Amino acid sequence: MNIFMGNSFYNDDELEEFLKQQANNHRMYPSDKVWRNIQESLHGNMRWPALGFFSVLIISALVVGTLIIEPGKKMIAENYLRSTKNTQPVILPQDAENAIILTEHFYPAHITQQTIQYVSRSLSSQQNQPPQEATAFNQNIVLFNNSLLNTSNLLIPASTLHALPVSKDIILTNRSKEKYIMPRTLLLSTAIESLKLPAASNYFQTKEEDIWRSFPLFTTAPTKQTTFPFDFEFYITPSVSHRKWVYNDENTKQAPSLKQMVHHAPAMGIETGFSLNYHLNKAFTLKAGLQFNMRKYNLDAYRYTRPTEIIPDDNVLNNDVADTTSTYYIAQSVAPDGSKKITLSNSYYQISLPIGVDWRVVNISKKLSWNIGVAVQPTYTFDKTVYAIDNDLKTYTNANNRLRNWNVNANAETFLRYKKGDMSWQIGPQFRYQMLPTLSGSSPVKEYLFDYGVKVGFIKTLSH
Amino acid sequence: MTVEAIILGCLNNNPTAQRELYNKYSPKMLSVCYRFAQNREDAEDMLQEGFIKIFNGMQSFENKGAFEGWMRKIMVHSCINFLKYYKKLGQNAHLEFAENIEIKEETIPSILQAKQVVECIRLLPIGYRTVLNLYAIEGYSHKEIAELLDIEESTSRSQYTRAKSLLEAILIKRRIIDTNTLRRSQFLPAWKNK
Repeated sequence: MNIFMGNSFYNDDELEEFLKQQANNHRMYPSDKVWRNIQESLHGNMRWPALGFFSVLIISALVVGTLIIEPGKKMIAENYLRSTKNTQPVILPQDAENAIILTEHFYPAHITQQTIQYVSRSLSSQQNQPPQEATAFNQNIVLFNNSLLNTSNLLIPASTLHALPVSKDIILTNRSKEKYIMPRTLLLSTAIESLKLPAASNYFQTKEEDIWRSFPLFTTAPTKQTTFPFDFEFYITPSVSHRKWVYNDENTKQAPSLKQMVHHAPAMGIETGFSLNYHLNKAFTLKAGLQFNMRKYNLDAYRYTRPTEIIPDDNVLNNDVADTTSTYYIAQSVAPDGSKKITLSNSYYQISLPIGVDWRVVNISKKLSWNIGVAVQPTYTFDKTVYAIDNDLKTYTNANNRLRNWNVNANAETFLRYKKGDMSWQIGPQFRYQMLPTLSGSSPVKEYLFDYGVKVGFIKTLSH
Repeated sequence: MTVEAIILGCLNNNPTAQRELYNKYSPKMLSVCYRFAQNREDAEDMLQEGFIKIFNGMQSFENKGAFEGWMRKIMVHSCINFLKYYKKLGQNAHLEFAENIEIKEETIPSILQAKQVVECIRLLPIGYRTVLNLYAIEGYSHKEIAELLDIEESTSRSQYTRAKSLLEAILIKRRIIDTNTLRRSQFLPAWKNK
């Protein structure tokens, strides 16, 4: 069939109208990849920041909740008592099975060898009866620690003592699970008043050893007290981020004005994370953890928008349109007339694994110490917006696809640490430096990121 | 969201507004690109570049006429630039003789008439197809087409004439249009095209 026979079966306008109608009725649905590429081109990879942000938020909430929200001490004491219910009897010399168990908190260090010998002789005369839990005395527990020195509570109130059956010994246990037996012979031989401790105000005047010598307590099988060498640390470091430039080749070195032409400014960033610390000894602590980093710095650029074609307004669609392209110049001196100054922002969102060591240089006081720390951090960048100088040395180009996602950072810090109980707080300056260039492949300049800021940390000593 | 709200959001670089715009217009725009492209992958690449230009150039839309028309212009330009960049226009732009074009009926899926017509258009050599798309469907003049494709105006006219004749033959062979009538209302509906 000769298709160019020249006979059109239709009026031209009708065919064109038909084609236009059919074409306008046609729809096609693009794949998801198209929108993702568009979004990435406009905003960078938006997926990870939300994930990273919420991960940090959840981790922070869990850490803060664990550190701050503690069960009450009374609850601890009551739970301890409940835990001893229906359990095996405490380890006792066979002669001291007939006893009442009271739970107290006091300092075991004050037990002297003399008292241990005393109880060894006394225990041999005890009758053989199973111990009973002193649930009746739960309400009379007195926490014998510093926080209650201002109270007038007695170790064993007189009313409690009067309620004790004289046929039973008293076994006292402390938080470290040491067991102390107060033989009933002591109760029989000593007037009740003599078992009262001095009034609280007298504590400050009386040596604690004197108190315990007059109030003999005997230990059976003390549990060996061990300190758990692990700490949990949570920290946050508001920081200022910037970059260091190194010329990459001879051509760039011959353009010495490059560094004078560009204008970059530091911007605020943040680091936050947690670590598990292991005390090698009193001076050195090993640390390993997980950290989220946000780094950013700003670049002044000059945007030139070039219209490519103007379509006259004489067609069916009745529109003027200008197709445009934008170029970002590094300085006004190299930008065409009509360029507009804007601020670009290079931003980096990272996850790193800091591994390092702290050195306690000196103890300033019993609670305050000065420390130095260093760490190496393998780092992964999961989101970024990066503008880099192009090979023409005049313009910035988007360099997201050339970013080195895996990098290594090193940090050094010094801080003061204040310890109170099993909690510590620390504050001090920190400096962090990126060891490998930001971009892979060739580029006129090599960029190395660095941050400096103030690190604030909270440390909790972990227990068994 | 209304079109005005979407435009305002896009001017503020709001990702939600941009997504709304994309969802609303991408089916039609992809259809435009598909008529110019050699395959679906090329069409999606054209669509992607076109939308990036649209979002980056929102400030240049000055409310003169329909927003969709403005978008469509940018999309067509994106298609032409893509064909030029990858040198696909040069392969067939000056095809003079097309009598030996084989109409492969089995390549045209018989689903909807609109899709059939588009597929018939895509059977044309790329040069003919581009001129036909620009003149008959997008409404460009031969002078504008000549400037856009860097060809002579007379070449544009002759290529359009040949393209139209070839397309008519394809549509008749596929029985999408009837040879025995001049009235548009008697173009065969899809269900009769068996």
